[in-house]
Amino acid sequence: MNVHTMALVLSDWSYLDTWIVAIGALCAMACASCGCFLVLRRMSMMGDAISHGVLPGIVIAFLVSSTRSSTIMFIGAALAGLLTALASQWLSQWLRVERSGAIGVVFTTLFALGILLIVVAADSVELDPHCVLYGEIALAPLDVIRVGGIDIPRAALSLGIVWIVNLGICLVLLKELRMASFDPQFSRSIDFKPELLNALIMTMVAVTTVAAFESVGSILVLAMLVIPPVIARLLSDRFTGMLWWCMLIGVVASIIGHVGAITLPRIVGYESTNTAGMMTVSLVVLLALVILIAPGPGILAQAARRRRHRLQVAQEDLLGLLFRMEEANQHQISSGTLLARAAEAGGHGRAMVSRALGKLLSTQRIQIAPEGVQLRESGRREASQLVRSHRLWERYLSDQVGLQDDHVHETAMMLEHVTSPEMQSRLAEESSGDRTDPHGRPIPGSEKD
Amino acid sequence: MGSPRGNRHQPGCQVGDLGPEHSDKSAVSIHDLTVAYDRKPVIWDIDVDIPSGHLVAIVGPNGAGKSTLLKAAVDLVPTSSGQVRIFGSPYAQTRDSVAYVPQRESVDWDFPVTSLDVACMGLYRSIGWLRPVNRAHRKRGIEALDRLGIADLADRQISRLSGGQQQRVFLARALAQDAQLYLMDEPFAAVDAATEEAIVRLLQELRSQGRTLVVVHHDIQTVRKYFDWVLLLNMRIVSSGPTDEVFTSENLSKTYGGRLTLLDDAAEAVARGDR
Amino acid sequence: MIAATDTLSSDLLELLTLSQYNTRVVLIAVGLLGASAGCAGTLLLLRKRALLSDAMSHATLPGLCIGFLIAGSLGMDARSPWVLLPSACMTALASLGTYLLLLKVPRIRPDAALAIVLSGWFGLGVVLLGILQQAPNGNAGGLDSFIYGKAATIRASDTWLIAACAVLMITTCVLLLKELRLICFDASFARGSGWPVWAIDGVSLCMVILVTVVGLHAVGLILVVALLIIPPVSARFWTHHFGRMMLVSAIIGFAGAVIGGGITSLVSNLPSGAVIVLVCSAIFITSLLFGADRGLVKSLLTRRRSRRKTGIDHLLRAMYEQSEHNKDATVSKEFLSGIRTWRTPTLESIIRLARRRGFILQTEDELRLTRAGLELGRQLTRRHRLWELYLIHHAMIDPTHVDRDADDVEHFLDASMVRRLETLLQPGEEPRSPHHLEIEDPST
Repeated sequence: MNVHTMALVLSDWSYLDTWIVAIGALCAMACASCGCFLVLRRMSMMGDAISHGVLPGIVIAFLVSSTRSSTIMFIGAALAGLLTALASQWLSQWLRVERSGAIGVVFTTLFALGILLIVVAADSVELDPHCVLYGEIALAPLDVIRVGGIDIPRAALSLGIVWIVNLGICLVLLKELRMASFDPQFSRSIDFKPELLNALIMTMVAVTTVAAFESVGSILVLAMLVIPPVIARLLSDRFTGMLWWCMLIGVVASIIGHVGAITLPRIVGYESTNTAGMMTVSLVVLLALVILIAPGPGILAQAARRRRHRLQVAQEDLLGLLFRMEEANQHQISSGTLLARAAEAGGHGRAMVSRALGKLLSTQRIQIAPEGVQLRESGRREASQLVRSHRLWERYLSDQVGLQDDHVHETAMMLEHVTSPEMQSRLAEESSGDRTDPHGRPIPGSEKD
Repeated sequence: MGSPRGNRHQPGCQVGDLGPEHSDKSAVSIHDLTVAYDRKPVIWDIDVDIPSGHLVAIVGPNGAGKSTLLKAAVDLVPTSSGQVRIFGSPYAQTRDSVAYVPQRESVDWDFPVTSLDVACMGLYRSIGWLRPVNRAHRKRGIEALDRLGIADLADRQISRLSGGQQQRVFLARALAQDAQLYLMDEPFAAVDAATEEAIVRLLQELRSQGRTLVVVHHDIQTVRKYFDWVLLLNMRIVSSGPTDEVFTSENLSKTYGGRLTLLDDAAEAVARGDR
Repeated sequence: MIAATDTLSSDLLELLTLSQYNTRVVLIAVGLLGASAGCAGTLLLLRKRALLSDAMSHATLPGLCIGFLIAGSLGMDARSPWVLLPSACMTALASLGTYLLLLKVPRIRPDAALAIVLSGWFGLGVVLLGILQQAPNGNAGGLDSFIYGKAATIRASDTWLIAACAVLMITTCVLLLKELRLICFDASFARGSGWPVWAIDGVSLCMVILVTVVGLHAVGLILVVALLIIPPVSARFWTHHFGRMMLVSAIIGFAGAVIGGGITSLVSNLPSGAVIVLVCSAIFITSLLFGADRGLVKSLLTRRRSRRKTGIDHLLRAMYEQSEHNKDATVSKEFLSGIRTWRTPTLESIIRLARRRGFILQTEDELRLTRAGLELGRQLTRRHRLWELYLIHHAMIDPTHVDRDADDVEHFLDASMVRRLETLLQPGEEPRSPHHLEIEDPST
């Protein structure tokens, strides 16, 4: 990668670039704050439908007012967006059209109408079909209004206002919106009007879509609506936590997106590319990263947990094996034999058992004696509890569950690793003082004995 | 609305001896209620009084309309005819004294809220719109969770709870509502023994405080043990009254013994004719 | 002005007679495309996956861009469908793969996964498009026709491609009709009885991808999903039979595409995708209103008919019951409006209808049943009382309520249900109605 070229490009950074990043961030944050509800209510595709459905509203507002007057545009688009949501709901509820089919019919019709209007009225509408696809975020900073002596891009202003309003609604109506999304039936039973709140969310989505339209177009807005909340949900278990993560992700994606858009194409010899598209790509990359490395549900974290668990099981299997050998009066065993037998008995890989052996040695639960490996006192205590659990389970499975005696061993092998002390004492109660397992071997005493 | 207490020992009413005037002191009085989904009647002409201060089971086979009856009582489904009065008034006026517990499967348990958040939802009506949940509310939420023995799980996200714990969270929410009438849809469905015990203890405690509990129940084995009043339902009321009198094998076989196929067919025919 | 009208009408004539080679080619192509989209869309809709096609069609954008770059660097015609379409297919397939992968991630719901796939792949496409526009070997303008659809750019060679795909798809649908119906209806049953559901599903998804990619030319990648969704949704209003639904859907797709394509060839500069979709939407609205299976008008008519029937039934029964007390008596309107809470205009219209059908005779304010009316009234009364008895004895409903319930139901009891009622009630049960009136057997 040509770091030099990238540095050169970045040294050309101007206030325009800063504004583009700001507009992108505001756009992502405004979208994400209402997108949270879409994602949580499993209505993400309704976001797609609304963002397409607002197009004829925008165009008609253009035709009527013949300016980019924000108020009329917002009203027209909000109405069209609500129409999309209501019409598809109506189709599926009253005419029993399958839900996704209903959404599909409504939004494609409205979008087609919008495209047709744009082309037919091309002279009076200064919108070109490309803007619909990916917006014109690069041109947005040039269209400024003066507020209090500072030139602020119109897009930044409208997106900023929408963002603050959205966030305000989310925080002020936090408990109402959260409850209506979580349990609409209960909300209705205590008269908290979930239908009304649903309409509010749809209106928020429609208005936000319009504000974002010029910057990112009507298709990429879906990425801003859905991807940040999905990432945030992977990172947080709280609704408010999700909201704040969304804001951070919006800012980060905007910065990476713009920097990527102006630098990456240079590497293959082109000029810069579309920032909104690159923002979407960076959101997807962030999502992939989070899926990979998120602490709880992340793939790596899960793999590590599974691995840790397998190591634990291997250690316990080794201890159990040594304990059973001591019972058979064989107090030492060469490590090679031990590893082979443990690998065979527990179905572990050789590498896994040798790691487990190393771990047992380093935690002083076993020791190397002249003729091989033997248990130390702490290891023996742990092992006896494991074997106790194992044999209690065998007893239980044989007596209470009614499994055949020659079938209980495998199941007990699995269960002994997950048996808590409480479970063990309950098992002991159930086995009603029987001191041997179904194969006649003694059940070791409990820790307290 | 009269005080729901003090009239606990109202005589049981069998189907047939109900006049058009219902006692307005009963907890729930349902008159001529018919509910139809998509024009197909699900419950026909329900006419029943549930006296206050009882622990009432609604028992019946699948598809008998048990949940529908509860939903109709709290205006969650539109009714074709008839009316429901709660403590003598329409539901809209008595919301504050009613707590409804939906079926556990009716919500998304992956939703990012904690047990405490859910329990506090029971207080929302007293908190009102726009006002935030403050520390005092949270304390009451924790008390409610504590009465179900899960105060230590208050900060846990609800998907990390077991099925029984989730059901307890739902009940804690209802408890926080501090209602006079509790309508519960299958609270014992798929819960562990400890939870079942905890719930029963709570229900009996609430009854002893003079509150009325109407519970959709699917386990015939435990009806006699848990409930003192039974409502046998299979699209229409088969019988209702004190458990000792009503919960007989004869009534049960009427409730479960074969569906009323003609009634089903007639419902279909009505739905077809209207379409 | 006159000249303009002249050209328009001669254009129209040309269009209708299909005399121009170009128009012929375009219309055949879009028509076949519409028909095959109708078939594939039926499968999608019935498997409740309508919006999956939306995501896949958007995911063709990066494929098109990559194809364009490859074709350019190989020195081929950058708009050649032989490069663009396979690469579009590849990204569409890749998007399906990403969707399936995302479904495996905990906490990501299918709807969110769909939205991520749609916008993510499209975003990549936009990035590539931004680069393409600076490509030295030509402008990216050619891609426009793939994004919004430009039926006029379809050439004879494209028609062959579309025709081949359409024939392939329609044959597959016909051959696999039974299997497809099975998995659309109950996939888990199909899996349980040993059908390779994933393979049949795969076939139907491949058909969808094929339609999407082939349809890019005519409808464009944003709206091609409409061709897959609107025809089957409309067809549902005409029939509920799987095979017929597929046929109707194919016909609607064909008609919508041909009419839309025709309009765009008449009026220059219209985006053919949008026009075709709007024509399809018009067909949808027509179906919604006039559909034979569950159209609005039909259900309103049915409801009106059943209301009228109910009214006449009630009138005849009231008059018959009156005649039981007093043979050959006449009945006054005041009396009738007294027994049921009929409003005067309603009563008037019911009486008018009943008179027209020859059930009653009217003299001044007096009404009397004709022979036919008497017979029908007797049957109705019998049904009513049978049902009342059933409710009392089998459904255990309070006798004071049965009258109203029976009122609702009696109109819908057919002959077989009446027979079942008779067998249930006759042996040993009370032959009298709860209101102490005989149930008369119509045969006596």
